[in-house]
Parts: sequence; structure tokens; C-alpha cells
Amino acid sequence: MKSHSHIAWALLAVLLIAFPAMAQAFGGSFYVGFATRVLILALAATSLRLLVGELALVSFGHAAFFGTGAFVVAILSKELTAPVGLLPGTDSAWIAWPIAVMVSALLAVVIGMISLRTKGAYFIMITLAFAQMTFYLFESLKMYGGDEGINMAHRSRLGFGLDTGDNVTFYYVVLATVVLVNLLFRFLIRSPLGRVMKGIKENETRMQALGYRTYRYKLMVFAIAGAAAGLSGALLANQNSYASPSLFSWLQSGNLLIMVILGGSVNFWGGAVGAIVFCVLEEVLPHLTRFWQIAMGVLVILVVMRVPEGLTGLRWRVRVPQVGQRRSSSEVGNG
Amino acid sequence: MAEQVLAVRGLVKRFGGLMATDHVDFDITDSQIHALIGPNGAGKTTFISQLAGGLLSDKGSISFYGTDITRLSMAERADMGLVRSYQITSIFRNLSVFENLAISVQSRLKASFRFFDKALVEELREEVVSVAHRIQLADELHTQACHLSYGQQRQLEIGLALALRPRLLLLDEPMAGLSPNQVPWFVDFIKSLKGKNLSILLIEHDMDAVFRLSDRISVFVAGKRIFNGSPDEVKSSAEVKRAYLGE
Repeated sequence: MKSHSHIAWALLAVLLIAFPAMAQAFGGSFYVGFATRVLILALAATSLRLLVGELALVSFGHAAFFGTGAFVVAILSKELTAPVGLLPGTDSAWIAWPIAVMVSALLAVVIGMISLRTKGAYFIMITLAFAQMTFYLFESLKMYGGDEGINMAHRSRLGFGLDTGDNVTFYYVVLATVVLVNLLFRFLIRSPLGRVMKGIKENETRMQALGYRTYRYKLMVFAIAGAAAGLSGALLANQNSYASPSLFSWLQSGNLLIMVILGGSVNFWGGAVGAIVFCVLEEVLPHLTRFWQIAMGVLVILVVMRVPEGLTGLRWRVRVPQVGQRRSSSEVGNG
Repeated sequence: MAEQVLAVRGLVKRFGGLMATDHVDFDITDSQIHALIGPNGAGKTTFISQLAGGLLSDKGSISFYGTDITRLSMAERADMGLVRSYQITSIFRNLSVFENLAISVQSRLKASFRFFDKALVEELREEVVSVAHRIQLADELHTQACHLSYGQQRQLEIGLALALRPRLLLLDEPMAGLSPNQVPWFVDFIKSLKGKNLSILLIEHDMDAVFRLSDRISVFVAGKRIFNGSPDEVKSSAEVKRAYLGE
């Protein structure tokens, strides 16, 4: 089994690395940009899955951090090229992106401090309310474009001879960032802190009785998820060289939640798989029918009803019998 | 002179018009098993929840080894060694026995942020195994908690509290729902826990178990402590018989 998964990972790595070359060979340079966007959204969905899957915190306001990351980068860029004068501007990725991450994390701490005192449906509604507040705030910032958003003169600069303006280079920058954040998340989930998250998800009251200040842990993970979402927002603003207040809208939060639900919140890769399926369908379905959103809706309903654990929860019905102890899945499953 | 573990003065908890805890004074000295008995609805579990910090008290004070803990949270009290178990089994059902106990040990070791500590893994494992032996679940370390038998789940319930190395253990009906042939092991087990630096406050309905285990017994009726004495004094008290034993 182990060698099988090694091969699968190697194939995936080759596919991700070779993708731009393959796309260009087949004359579809457009797909490099598409794949970049998918990776960026996969990062945002992965950060939301951390909350939904590891802590059972269904945040309906994740777009707040996504949008904040995008706007921080865009505002810093505008301050450099057409300054409003409130801040010193910069177009260095090494400065702008970490600031985007930190501001998003800070916002997540503020929003989390209040929302995490509520549970269930109240948590969903209060995170939604906060995200809508950020939406109206940025939409009303006339000096930063108001409802028209902010255009960036160019993408953030990385130095080292890397031209982020080139779509293929930018693809690799995004790929590296996404891989790094995923490794970090995986490390966290497998660390002692991951064990605390599992305990809080299972039985928060007992965790408190065992000496854990669960509120602090939840706030910390909420901030980490917000920071990662902010980073993906910063990447998206870069890709489009544009940040729109619509990034803050509840539709964006909803889409991210749908990705997590489609992919499945329990599996580590649920967010990424959901984002890929969602984006591909969003691209393909409109070619087939004008009413593609209905088809998307039907699919989401089918997944929720038939595979509650999402697409990553699907298992092969028939397992290839293997030499040794492992036999059919039915025998293993009912043990 | 034995050390004072717990000193409760004038403790009150109201639920609307109901006095669930009615000006209770209560003391526990070191290395004692103190049993709490009384009819259903007497306020025993409410009292334990107030001690553990799950419920905040309306009036009165609680002091633990000389520190006022009346306003501390449940987690802070657990850190100090005041740990409870639950009458309705409250374990991490979807995690293995090992992970259940590891959560508890990790809390005691303050190890949740020791990300790069290789020695921690071994330290945790050793202590989890040793607790598992004490609660007779060493052979079930990799069993999901929800697949344990009911009796084993009760053992794990106590194991979670025990892994914190408490100084005062609040056991809320540890033997609730067990079949009669499982009770003797539990009685011996609880007796074996008592020792230096561990006192136990025990709620139990099985009077045989109570008389076999306890050094002192308090009788609660309608939120009030109506009696406090040794097992023999309780047996011979006319007041207790009238109010509770129903003879």
C-alpha cells in the first residue's frame, strides 16, 4: 500500500511541475492562469477546512481574510504608484505578502475573540456578519477605489531574477507557496497541537475538565486559518493585478464552504480536491448549459446526501485482493 | 495534623427559584475518601460541578490547598490538581484509548506546543501505557473508545482524570450503570487510588460500596448538608435514616 501512495504522490508532483509545459505544448497557455487560480483557491479552501474539519468550526466569513489579504497587497502597490499618502507603499512580495498575512491574522484574532464565544448556528451567523462588515467597509473606502476596487500596476516583485509578470513563473511561485502552507498545516495537525484540536472537536467540555483553555486554542487556529486565507487573497490579487470588494462578499465565503463540503472536511485534502472540482465545473459547465448553476447545485446536494464525507470520503467499493491478510473491504470493514 | 485539601464556606447555587446548593460548608483533609450520598435531586452533582468549575457559584467560597479558587475556570482548577470525572461517560469516542489518555497526559506535561521535542513522544507513550495498566486497558490501547464495552468506557473515564495526577479527584458515580459483577473490581480500584497526596470525593448510590470505601460521609438532602460523620455514625444516625435511608 505504502509504495502505491508513493507512486501516486510522485505522479501528482510530476503533473504539477510539468503542467505549464504540457499546457503550452497543447497550445493552451490560458490553462496556466486557470491552474494558478485553482491552486490559490485550493489554499483558501484548505485553510477553511482546517477550521471545519479539525475543530468543527463552520465559519461563514472566511472571505473577510481572503479579501483582506488581497486588499493589503493592492493598497500597498497603489501607495507606491499612485499614492494616497496614508501608508508607505511597496511592491516587494517579501514585504507586502507577510504584511497581508499578518493583517489577516490580526483581523482573525479580533473576529475570533468575539465569534468563538458562540457555537453552532450562532457562530455561522456572527462570522457572516463580520465578513459583511468588512465588505461594506472596503466598498466605502473611496480613496482605495470604493466599489470599483484597486488596480495594481504590476505584480509584486520577488527579485532573484524571477519575473512574476510571467504567468509560468507566477504559477511556480504560487505552487511553491501552496505546497509550503500545506506542509505546515500537515505538521500542525500531526503535532501535539493537532491532538488538542481533535479533542476539542470531539468533546470540548471534557477538554476543559482536563485543563485545556479551549478558547485560546480555537482562537489560535482561527488566526492561523485566517492568515493562510489572507495569503491566498494576496496571491489572487497578484494574479489578477486587481482587488475587488466582491472578494469580501458572502458569495465568496459560500463558495469556499461549498468547496470544503464537496471535497469533504474530514480528509486533509478535502479543501484542495473540492476547490479543483468546483473550479473545473465552473469552467466546463457553462459551455454545456446556460443553467449550469443548477447542475452545480444538484451535484452539491448529491454529495451531501450520498457521500457526507465528501469526494475524498469515497472509497473503492471493490478492493483488489492482495496477497497476505487483506481480503475484501467488507470483511475488513465489519471487524 | 492532616493537611486541609478543600475548604468550602457558605456555597450557594440557585437555578431560578430552586436552591440547588444551599449554604454548604464542606472540608476534606489529605488522603481521605469522602462520600457524598443523598436522594436524587439532592444537588450532589451540582455541588461537584461547582467544585470543579463547570458551574460558577452564586455565593460562598471554595479554597483548595489554601488558594481561593472560587472564580477560577474549570481548566485552571484542573491544572492545580482538582479534577473531576463524569456520571455520564464523557470520553473522546472517536479516538483510540491511547489518544484519549495521551490528551490527558499531554495536558499535565504542558506539551501541546513542544513541536520539535523527540523525547516527548517516548515520555508520553510510557506514561499512557502506565495509566492504561492501572485502569486495565493496556490491551485495548488501539481500540476506538466507542468500541469499548460499557465497563471499559467507565474505566477510561476515570483514567482520563487519573492521568492528570490529581490531588483531589471528584468521582461522580464512577460505578453508574455497571453490572453487579463489575462493581467489586471498581471498589478495589478506587480504594487502591487513595494514598499520599490524593483525596477523593465520591458520589455513589451503592451503599455497600460507600461503606467499604469512605473515611467520611456527607448526606445531602434538598441542597443542604444535613449530616457529616464516619460510616458508623451515618449507619446509626436516626436523622439520616429518616431523611434518606428510608427506614
